[in-house]
Amino acid sequence: MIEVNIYNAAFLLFSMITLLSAIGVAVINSLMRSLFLLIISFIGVASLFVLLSADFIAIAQLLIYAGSISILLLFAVMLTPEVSINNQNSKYFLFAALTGILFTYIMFLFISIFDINQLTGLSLDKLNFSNTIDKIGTLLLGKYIIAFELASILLLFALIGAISIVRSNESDFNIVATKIKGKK
Amino acid sequence: MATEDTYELNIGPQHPSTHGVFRIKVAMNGETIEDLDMIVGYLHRSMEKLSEERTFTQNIPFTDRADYLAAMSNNLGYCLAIEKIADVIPPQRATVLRVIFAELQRIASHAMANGTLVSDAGAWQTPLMYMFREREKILDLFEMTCGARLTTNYMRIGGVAFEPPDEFYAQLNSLLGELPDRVDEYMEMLSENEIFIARTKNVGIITPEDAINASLSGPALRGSGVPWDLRKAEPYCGYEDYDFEIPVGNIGDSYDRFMVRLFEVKESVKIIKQALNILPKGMHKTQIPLALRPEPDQVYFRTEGPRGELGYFVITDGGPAPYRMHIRAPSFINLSLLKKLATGSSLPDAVVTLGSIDIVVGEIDR
Amino acid sequence: MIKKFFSNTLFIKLSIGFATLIFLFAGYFISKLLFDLSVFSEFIFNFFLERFSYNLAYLASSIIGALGIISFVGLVLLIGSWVERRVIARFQIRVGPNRVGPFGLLQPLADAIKLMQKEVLVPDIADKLLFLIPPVAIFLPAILAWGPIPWGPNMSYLDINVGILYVFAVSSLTVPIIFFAGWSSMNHYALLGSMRTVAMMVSYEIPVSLSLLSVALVTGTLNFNEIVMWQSNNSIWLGLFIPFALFTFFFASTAEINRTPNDIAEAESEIVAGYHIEYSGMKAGLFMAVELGNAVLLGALISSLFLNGWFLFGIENLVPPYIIFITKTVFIYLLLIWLRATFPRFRLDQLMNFAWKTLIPASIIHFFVVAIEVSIISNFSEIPYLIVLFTVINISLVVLLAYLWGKIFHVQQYQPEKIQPRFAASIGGLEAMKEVSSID
Repeated sequence: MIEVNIYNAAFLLFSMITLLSAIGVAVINSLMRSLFLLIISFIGVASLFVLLSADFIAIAQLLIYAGSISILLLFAVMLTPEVSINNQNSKYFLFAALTGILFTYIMFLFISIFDINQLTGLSLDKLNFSNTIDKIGTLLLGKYIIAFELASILLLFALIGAISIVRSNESDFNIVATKIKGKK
Repeated sequence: MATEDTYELNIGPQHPSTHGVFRIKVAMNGETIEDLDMIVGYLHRSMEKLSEERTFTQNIPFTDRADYLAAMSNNLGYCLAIEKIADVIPPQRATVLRVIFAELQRIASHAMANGTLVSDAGAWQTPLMYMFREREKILDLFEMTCGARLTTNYMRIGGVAFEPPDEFYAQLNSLLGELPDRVDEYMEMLSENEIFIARTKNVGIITPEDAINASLSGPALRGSGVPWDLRKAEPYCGYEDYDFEIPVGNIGDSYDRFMVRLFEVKESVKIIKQALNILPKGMHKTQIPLALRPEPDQVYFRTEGPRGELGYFVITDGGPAPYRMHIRAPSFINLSLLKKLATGSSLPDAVVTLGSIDIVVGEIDR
Repeated sequence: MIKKFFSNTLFIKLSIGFATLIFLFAGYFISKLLFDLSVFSEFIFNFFLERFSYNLAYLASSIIGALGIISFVGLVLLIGSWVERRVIARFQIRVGPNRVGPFGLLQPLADAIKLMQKEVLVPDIADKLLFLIPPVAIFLPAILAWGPIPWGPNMSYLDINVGILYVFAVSSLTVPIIFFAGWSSMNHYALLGSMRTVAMMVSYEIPVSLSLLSVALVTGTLNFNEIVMWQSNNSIWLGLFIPFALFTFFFASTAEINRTPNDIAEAESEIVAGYHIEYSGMKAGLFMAVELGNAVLLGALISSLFLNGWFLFGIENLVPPYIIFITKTVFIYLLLIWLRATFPRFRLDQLMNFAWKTLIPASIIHFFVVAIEVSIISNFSEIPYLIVLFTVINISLVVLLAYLWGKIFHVQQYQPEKIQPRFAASIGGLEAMKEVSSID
């Protein structure tokens, strides 16, 4: 049974926020509103990380997901036509529901292995790691250097790819420019 | 107007940088203007038609309200036109006073134009306030002479309404002493300001061919390098006796138009100083009949207003009122080139271009 | 007789002197008493700890601290708008607000009351929910970012090891909020403004993060307190040691918080008010207040990261350190006001060009230079005054580069041609056209 203390109360609050807004993302028709709820859900996840004393991960969650990925999604949504209109009639509804149920089942299997009180709250205080950022930095540039380098190479490729995509469209810009000139 | 790639944006009638109730309907692609329609008439007061119902003298206040930033110049143009059609010859003192007041009005108007241009370029009103300082002093001079600051109603057919008071000359002299320094101050503050240069250089370039084809006049024309000024080309009020120069721009961009206005302020100061030296004693006004009835005739008289060629076309039928009066408003004709200048440019550039052309909506709509 | 005595100028002078003396003494005693404001939260913490549990004590003292910060920010929002209007008025040869209260000090309150009385208009086609949330939500990042600011020794609300990252992460939450404000208004101006904001913030977060990265590299920590302590231990201001990072941070932050010369997101002359064009009454007021609060926050960040926080050549032992900190913050804020009163604004494409083609490569190069210097300092720590040497080198490099940059982009002074005009007989119509064409 879950103990009644301030950590668990906070955990319940933040997980409720996260879950409810995540359900809202799936249920609400307006894409923009579901995006807004998605950001709230990201923030909820970040506060769950704070409860786990994982300050760096929490900040990274906030910075990357709530601050940056959401902007990416904003642009994606802006490029979809009829943003605010009902987008419920999807062909893949059954498939999506089945996937969701399967994923939930797997998650439950994992969760049932661990005792929740060992992962949250006061039991974490006993571990007493005050500074996660040092350890993450040492591990990333020590033990996991290959994964780190591979990730950075992947990002570099993505950057170069983005630039090359933009550059190949230069001819389109020229067409637009001549159009405008023609009007003159 | 709006196509699949564009969206429509209404700049105005209420917009900070349309300088009045003037509306531009823009088809935009992102931040680029692809097409635009200019819609005027929000300030139409039917001035030309109303003037057919009033006597020649009663029409002078209307001209104040046409270009409300250059009331003196409008008064002057109208009075000169009527004097030409009615064969009234003003006394010499009135002519020189007219020159003084018209040039003061030119300085005030250019200060306003340049200040709002810098505000359009994004300065938070500081240059505008600085230039308003000089404009305020000039308006003070107007107030002590004729009681009004904006709509002066000062010129009369056959002279000027009032003799300037004695303290006018002292204040005018001190103003003339400090004005060139002020102009240098603005040049220091703005013409070498990197941000201002980045915003106005090569923005809204009017070629001399375009300028002449579109019949531009005033600083908008001279900014393109065409040395055309009616004070030199068709002198009136004895402008041929004054020694002054016509500054012209190099390539015709917004920066050139800004600088031409600044230099013109200096030239106006020179003219006023010479006028004060030759100011004769005598009457400031000739007596004209109360109901002036010129012979049936028509006249087009043009003067160089602060914004360009300000023409008054008057037809008389022998009655006490004009049969038809038409104002050739320089703002209206200068504005016609905006569509060509702004198409293909970005929204901030279009705003700066519009500011550098210097329109007054009261004059456009009349 | 008595009336005459009271109207005497000597009496007025004496009373002013007396009041000054009393003020000085009172100020001295109050500053002695309030030297360290953390005693309040400590007292409350102990008070609750003796009577209740540890958790409750923690909660209570944290709420007290948060209230302190929020009340300071609220006060700053009130006084700051007055300061900004008065100072800009002085720049513009005006007087500024001087009617409500002494020196117009109550003008912000009057403004707030006026704004609250105004009708809140919601556009008919707006997305109502998303329209009404942003003005409230935008306060969250603006207040939260004040958390790790070090006000003085032992006076930091969130003394966390990821302080810089925290401020960075929290302030990045502003972007979606502003976007929602602009999008839900269903106005083209608002959409333009919010897209400009998003583009600017995404671009200028990179130079900001690179400049903060060099700060972290030099000091070896992300904790604000430790950064301030590093500066006082090495007796050097980081703004002097890495001036380019200071410049980058300042300029890019002006772009992020919409201050002149980079206030294109709400460029008044172009897109009227940008993303908050459709908001009326206090909702618009909230957006403006947050903008002002962010400007002061920028001052606080710069003064703690680059200007040595609460230290000032030993004066921190005489005056309460938080007073010194606030003074530095206000100094940066006045600098922002000065910029606003002086400069026109850049164009969007010019700013983006500057960010991607100049600022980001320059900050990456600067980051490498700083890395080399830091490794030299840490490897040759026995050599004294190495930091001073590198400070001199860095400053002279920045000055030299700025000078060279100015040389390359030097703008020649304008000299218009003074052509004596030809007269009407010789020029006009098609003839003039030909003549003009032949001139060119």
